Amino acid sequence: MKTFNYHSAKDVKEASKLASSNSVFLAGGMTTIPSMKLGLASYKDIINIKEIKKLSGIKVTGKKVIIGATTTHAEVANSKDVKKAIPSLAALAEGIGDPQVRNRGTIGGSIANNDPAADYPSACIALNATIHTNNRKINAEIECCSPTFHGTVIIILR
Amino acid sequence: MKKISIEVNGKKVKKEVPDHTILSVLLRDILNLTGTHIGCDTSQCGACVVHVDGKSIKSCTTLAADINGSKVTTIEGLSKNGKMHPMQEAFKKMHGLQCGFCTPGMVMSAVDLLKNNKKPSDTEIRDWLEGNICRCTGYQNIVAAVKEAASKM
Amino acid sequence: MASLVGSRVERKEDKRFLTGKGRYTADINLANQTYAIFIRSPHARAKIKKIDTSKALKASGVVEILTGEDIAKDKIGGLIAGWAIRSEDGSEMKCPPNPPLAKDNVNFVGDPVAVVFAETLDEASAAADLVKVDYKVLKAVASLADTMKSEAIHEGIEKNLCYDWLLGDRQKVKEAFDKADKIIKLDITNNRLIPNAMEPRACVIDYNTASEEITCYTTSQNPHLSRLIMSAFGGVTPENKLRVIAPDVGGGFGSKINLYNEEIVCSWASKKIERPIKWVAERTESFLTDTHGRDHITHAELAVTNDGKFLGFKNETIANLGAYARVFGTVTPTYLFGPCATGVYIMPAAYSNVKAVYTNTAPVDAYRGAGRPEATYTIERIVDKAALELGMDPIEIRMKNFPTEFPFKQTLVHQVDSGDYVAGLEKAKQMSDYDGFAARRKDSESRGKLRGIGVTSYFEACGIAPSPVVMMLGCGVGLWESAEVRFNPTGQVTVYTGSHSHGQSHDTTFAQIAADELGVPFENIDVVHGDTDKGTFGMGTYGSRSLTVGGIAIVNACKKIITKAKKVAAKMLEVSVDEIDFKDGEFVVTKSNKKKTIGEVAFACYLPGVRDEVKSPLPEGEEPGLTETAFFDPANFSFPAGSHIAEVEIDPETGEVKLDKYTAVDDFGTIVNPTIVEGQVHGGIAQGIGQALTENAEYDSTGQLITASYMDYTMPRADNFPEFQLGFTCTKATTNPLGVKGCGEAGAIAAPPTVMNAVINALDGQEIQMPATAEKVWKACQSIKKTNVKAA
Repeated sequence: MKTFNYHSAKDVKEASKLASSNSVFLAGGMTTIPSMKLGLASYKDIINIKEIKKLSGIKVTGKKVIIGATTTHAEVANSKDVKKAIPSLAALAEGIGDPQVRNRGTIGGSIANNDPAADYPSACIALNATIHTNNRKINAEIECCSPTFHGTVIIILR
Repeated sequence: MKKISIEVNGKKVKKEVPDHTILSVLLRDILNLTGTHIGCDTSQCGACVVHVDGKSIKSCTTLAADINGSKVTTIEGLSKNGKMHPMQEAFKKMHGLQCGFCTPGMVMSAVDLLKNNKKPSDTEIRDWLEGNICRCTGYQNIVAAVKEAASKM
Repeated sequence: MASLVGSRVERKEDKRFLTGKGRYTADINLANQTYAIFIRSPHARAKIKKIDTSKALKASGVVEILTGEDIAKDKIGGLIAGWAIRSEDGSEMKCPPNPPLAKDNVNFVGDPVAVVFAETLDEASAAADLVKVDYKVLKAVASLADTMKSEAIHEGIEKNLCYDWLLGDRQKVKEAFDKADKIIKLDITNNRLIPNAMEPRACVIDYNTASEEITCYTTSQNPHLSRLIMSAFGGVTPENKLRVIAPDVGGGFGSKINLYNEEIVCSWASKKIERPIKWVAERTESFLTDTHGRDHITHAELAVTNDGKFLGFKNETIANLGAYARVFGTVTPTYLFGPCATGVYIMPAAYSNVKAVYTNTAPVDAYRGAGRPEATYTIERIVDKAALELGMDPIEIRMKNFPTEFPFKQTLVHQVDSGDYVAGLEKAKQMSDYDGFAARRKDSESRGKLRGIGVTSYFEACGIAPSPVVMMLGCGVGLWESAEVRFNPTGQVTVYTGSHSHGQSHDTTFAQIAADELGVPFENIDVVHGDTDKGTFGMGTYGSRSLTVGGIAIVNACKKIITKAKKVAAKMLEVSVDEIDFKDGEFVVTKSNKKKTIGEVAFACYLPGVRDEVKSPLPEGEEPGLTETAFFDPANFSFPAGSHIAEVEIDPETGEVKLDKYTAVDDFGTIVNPTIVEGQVHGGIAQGIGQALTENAEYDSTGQLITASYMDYTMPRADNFPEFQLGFTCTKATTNPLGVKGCGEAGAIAAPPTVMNAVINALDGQEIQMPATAEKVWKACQSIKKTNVKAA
């Protein structure tokens, strides 16, 4: 793996400032790190966003399930609230990869990577989710095949 | 270079390493804890599984810098005072290993399972272990070992 | 003292593996070591025009870069084919040169052409990127079916044909076919597999500048054999200056039999640069360059009477050798395959014809079963097809053609010493509740699913092998095995074996055998293997030979120990040897209570004297010490056998195959440790099911391996299997004192046809090839739907 500079951002503002065309945000790393190890990708800077508190967590209010971008698959799968509100979403999260991948991999990472074979992007379309980044709001149903997001992501699933 | 300060198997460790250092490399090559194994290059085989802050993760797909400040447990840290963990005893009793290469990751993964589910069924055990490939045992005695450990813990 | 042979003893070796204290090759680090990265061809077939290492040599940390030119200059020999096969017309087989680093031509993706040695792995990797290799890309020959019509990939080897081999009698087969009521025909592919031991290959080399000795730590199933090949054929260094150590090895399954390019190159280079070298394969490298397995295209025909009696059989196979012929590559599809082509059955006439060809793919060699899975798959599939076409039950047709008198001389080669195939199949039938299948099928159908049941009766020939027989057939070495049993003065026993354990539990099972023979506690016996400096030369572990050949060598060495010890005991007890009985570790004078333990006798052998008197416990002519060596050459192969039955449930909407039940009844003769044997059966069955349902090594038309990681090559996981039901019958082997037959490969041999017979039964006889992926099965289900619609 080619070397890089590792940074840890404490808030969205700092993360945005550190970002460039040769950087990548790091949440779980379940896609990013294997890509770098196989030589398929290389970056000058890796920006860890896991310390940004507002990017994580699950909140269920009224008719909304709000999931922070750096929430892990295991957290979504095990969440009593998600199981109650959208049981199929918890089941989906439980089926991703394996337990170790689920302990690190995140919903934000999956959506940002937007692999057509992945589960979350399809779920976003099916649930008519809204994806909130620091730049804009994305309606999943409309922008179903959009390219990789640039920026940090908070996801709201209706 | 990054200054990493972690706890490994109960001991405080301070090392300065290149930013791109993978946790499995830190464990195997820098700390000489060679019990954690590398079996693949696509994060799928599970031979490298360790616990970070109580959760099982793949050490081959984790940057050392990314777990700064964490508590790491490797297979070497599972026994206490020379006495094997019930999971290790169960694997021995039930012949849950043959060549031993997948075993550290398998055991660490199984220990995490029992943290989440104290009395898993055969199906639940097999589902949980889908991130650990074994080529020798056909998994049957591994499942038996996990059940045996569950009955003792 | 209860016998340990036959007991469920827990393993001695587990503590180190369970606590992370094992010592695999990649765990070894030597002071001042350099790191090696191999530069490999990205093309399946090409000429090497030029290699430019100038920029790479200037990169940070680089110690040396060596190419095919360098290794040729030093006259280092290439990799060898270990078994000479003659074609039907009497001509010798044709093998291309296989230099450890390619100089002129590359012949498969991954073929190494150069190597970088640097101070750190990162620096070696960076420098490797700077090595420029100029190739002239040639058209690859990658399709097995078209190989003989394609351009020759090796000079002088027309039609890419290594040999065209025949076993059996064509004329007799023709006469049998002329008399038959029906000829059953079958076309089979035996899919290419990649062994994928969980530990990737590695080597760590040390060069001692004072003694000029090379020590090669390597992931090998047979370190002594590797040492012989590396010195005698590689010419790397004289044999007595080469030490090969295979420490803990994480699985082999045949893929670690060969001495590979990397071990030869690194050993040679270590002496050149006078520094230790470490090389560890990445998994992708393993995929590309470990020897692969299977890869046959077969046309078979079975001549039968209307009431299901077998009259004759022919098996015509094209076998893929890959780019080069390796150690067991040429024998796996011939003498390990052909003699087992007719399966367990009475088959009055038969022949096996094999055309082995070269393609621009990784070399193919032995993989768990080596030839016997390929043979068994074809015969068991065609027997099932015969049952279907004749309207007979699959169990009925098998029973009808089983031999019942043993020893049984098969038409092709094997003289099977013992067996009871009827008992095995009866037990499998009963254990699997075969008669209850119809009801279970109805239940599946009520849920919209298809259900099938599949039977296989197999035998295999292992415990390889009697040296005079195999050497007559072209093997380059004898296949005996050695043991040295050293009784230490203080009572511990060390058993040095030429076998190797990379998961087979020899540390435990061999200690059980020695404990029984010597009457010494199990805890006091240490089994040592894997180091050419310790113990005698041995041939290693493969072909389910460790117990039947290696274990017997241990028995024989122990018997020699007892013979000597008895004489010494007699002298100590002042009686004649005939008055001594040896039982439970004690030499007892018959009809008295005078005795000496074996420990006391051993001590006396090493310290043969007393104070104040010239008195030796050793009889006249007997030397001090108590160490014996035995080399055992088996009289025949051994013949495990059994019957397996599986049930599958198929979802026609998705094509997904669920393996619902699997029953295995095996006859391994005497079982030394039932727990270990069950584990071997589980593991073999799992690999066989992998072949049947999920695994396939696929090359595209340009020779690129498109299944080169666990993303694409589907390894079976824990949730792919039901619980296997195991049963055993026992007919002891008559060719060794323990009556053992070996068990390591049986599961991988029996499982593929068992599962596929079940799948095809669920699909009403529609044939599909392995692996039975959801896509293939779904398409077959669509076909059935269409047929049913047409019929309705």
